[in-house]
Amino acid sequence: MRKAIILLVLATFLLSSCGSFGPSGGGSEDEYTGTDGVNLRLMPGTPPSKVYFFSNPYSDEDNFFPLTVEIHNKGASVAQGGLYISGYDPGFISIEGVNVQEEDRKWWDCDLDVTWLENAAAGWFAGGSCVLFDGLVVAGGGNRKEFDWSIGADLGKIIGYATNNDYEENKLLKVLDGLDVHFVRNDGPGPNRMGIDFSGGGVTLSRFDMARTAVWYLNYMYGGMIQDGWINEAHGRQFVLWGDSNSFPGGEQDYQTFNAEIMNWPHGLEQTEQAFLFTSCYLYTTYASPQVCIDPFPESSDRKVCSPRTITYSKGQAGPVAITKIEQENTPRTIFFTIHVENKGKGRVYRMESLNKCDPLVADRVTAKDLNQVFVGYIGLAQDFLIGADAGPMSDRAHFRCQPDTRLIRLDDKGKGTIVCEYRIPYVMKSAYLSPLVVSLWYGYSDTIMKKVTIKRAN
Amino acid sequence: MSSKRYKQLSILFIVGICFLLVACTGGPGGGSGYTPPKDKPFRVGKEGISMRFMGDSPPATVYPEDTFNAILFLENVGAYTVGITVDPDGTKIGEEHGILSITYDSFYLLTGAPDPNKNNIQLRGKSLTEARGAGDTHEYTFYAKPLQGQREHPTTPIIFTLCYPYETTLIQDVCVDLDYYNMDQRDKVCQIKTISLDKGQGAPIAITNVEPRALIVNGISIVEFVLDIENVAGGNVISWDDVSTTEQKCNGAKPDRDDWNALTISASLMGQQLDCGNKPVRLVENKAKVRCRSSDRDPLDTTAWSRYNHEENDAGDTVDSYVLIGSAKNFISSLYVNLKYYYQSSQSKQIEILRVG
Repeated sequence: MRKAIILLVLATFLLSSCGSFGPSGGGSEDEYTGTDGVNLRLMPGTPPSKVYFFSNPYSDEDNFFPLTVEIHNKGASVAQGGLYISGYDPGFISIEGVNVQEEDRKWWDCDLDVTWLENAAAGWFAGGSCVLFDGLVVAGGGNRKEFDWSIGADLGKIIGYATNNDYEENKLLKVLDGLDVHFVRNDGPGPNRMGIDFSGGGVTLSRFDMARTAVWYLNYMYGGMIQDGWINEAHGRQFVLWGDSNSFPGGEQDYQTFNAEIMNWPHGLEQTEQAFLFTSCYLYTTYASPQVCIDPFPESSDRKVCSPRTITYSKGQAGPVAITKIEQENTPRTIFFTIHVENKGKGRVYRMESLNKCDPLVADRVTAKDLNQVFVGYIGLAQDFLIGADAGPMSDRAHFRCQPDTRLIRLDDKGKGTIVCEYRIPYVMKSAYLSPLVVSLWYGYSDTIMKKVTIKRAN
Repeated sequence: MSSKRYKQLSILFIVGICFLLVACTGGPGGGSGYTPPKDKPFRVGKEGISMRFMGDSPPATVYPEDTFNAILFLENVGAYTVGITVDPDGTKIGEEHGILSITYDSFYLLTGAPDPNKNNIQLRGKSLTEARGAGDTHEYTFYAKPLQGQREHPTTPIIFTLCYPYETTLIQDVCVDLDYYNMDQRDKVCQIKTISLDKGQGAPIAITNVEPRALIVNGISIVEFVLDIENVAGGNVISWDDVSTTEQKCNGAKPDRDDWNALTISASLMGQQLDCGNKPVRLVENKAKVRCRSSDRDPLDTTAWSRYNHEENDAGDTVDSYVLIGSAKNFISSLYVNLKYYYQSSQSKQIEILRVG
């Protein structure tokens, strides 16, 4: 019996050592794992399952009841978003601070001063600039095939327009403190093809910087497009929550209480059931930095420090959208990385630019074109990232090109999608080497929870 | 006891203690353990005031010159009170009554009272606090006259007819969804669906089906409810109005042709009046279909669904339109429907008069 056990242990060791020698490219899980983002939870008893309406209230608290939600950022990214409440009859129940009759805020009216020039070769050329408001200028030019335009923005002024909540505004500024980013939108040929690039000082490749760059982008984009930013605080409550980190082990959590009032009681009604739907809409990022093997001659039998292989992730990267696999195909000049992503959370993925429509009280419909799109905010090898002007993934010094060039990954009905990015090896290499590949996915996310409350007339 | 047996018993004991602890604390997360009693719905049933003879009275057979009794038991099994109505402060705001009339062949029978008809039938219906409505017995004495003619065993009917005002009230939670094409992919709290009601509302006229719809009328989203109404108790329906009395509707000049099989309807959605048309609802073969919808032409309507917009276009012309503002589009609301009518039902018995000798 003892001999059998020894043999079994030896066999296990032998099997586990199969494969090439030496460290391979990546394959290990990141230190942050999981598929949670911002979780919602109703606090017990708030709201209660049954409340009573008093036609002759005895105190100011009669006909009021609280709805308290815990929002907990369990992932690793900083999250900026809004918490909304809907689903109740607004003619019957009033929620403090929620104005369902608030008119949708307008997109900025902008008179684009366009200068038309004749160009026999390119067809037509148009260019101009648009001052949206003090702090934001849009300028651009292009022809029928390509149109480049850029946005220059003063973050402080935009944040000032974006929030009415001083506490959350300060938190947002704290998140973005130290960043100095310039965004460029590059419109590709064809309809609806846009790419986002960024460059500037103060940005590193850390998980935290990648996340807050995304937050920066979203607020600066919406600050220039919609009055008062993307969260309508007449409809919901803004939140800014730090992710799981040394400063906030387990992630930051907060509690939001909505006070509901039963405004009137229709004739003949004895009791009714009202539903309260809590919706969170937030920006999130997923970050991975596996070690990949840059090997221009993967078929050669020379002794190498590494060999390219597929990197799989089974536990996620502490975000609801996970990178599940990174495949690589090496050639002497280029390496093709196929990145597989999947919505592992229970909520919905929103295109970042459509996050304002996640608000349940916005009249605009949310359709398929607003959902299931993840943006590759950054992809690059660590060695290629330059801090300073003209850095960023799409600059001339960057060596990555992705298809589609908008870097938008569309998820299918099962929540899965892929993107292929091509890395041009910048040097003439003869030997393989390891390098971290940084991938940062930016996306909007939404989750809901619902509670039904029975409301009964008491007298 | 063996050690193995001892181990099994220990495990069982520990599991049992755990179950007891869970039961005492209300399970994970604790909790007060208080569960409010469930309300028993009282607006169910398909009758208003029921009539039935007590026991064997009147008897099926009598002899000439016999005196016999007919005892009728009236019970309000529905959910509407025929009687004095009061407001929440207890102040009387109205009074209604039903009329019980008797029809018999005076060739064969006589009654004791000069006018056996009763004009003061008032009975409480079911309510939240009364699971059973009120009932009352009415006793009549008859005399079988001596037989004349050649018929050996003639039969003659005694017919009791009750005519009373009644109301059907439906209070139903419904889904309002103004996403007309159901294209919005945001989560919803409810889906519009047709509601079948097969248990009645505690009245002889029942609403059997409620079909909510979202429509676009004059450019704005409105809600509409299509209601199926049915006479389920087998009697006759007479229209109600706030001018005529019960005597006029039940006893007076025979009800007008337009009065038969007609009723009045009103509806509201969480207190907001719906438009069901101005005319009475007509039942055809005991059934009717009615549409009640929210208003689409009220410029003062500032509800969460629409707002009247008055603006100038580029040409300087005034354009009036309704704009669906950023607002609640999907929620649960309470539909209230009220039907008012007079109901006439009858109960009869054939009396056989046996010739003696």
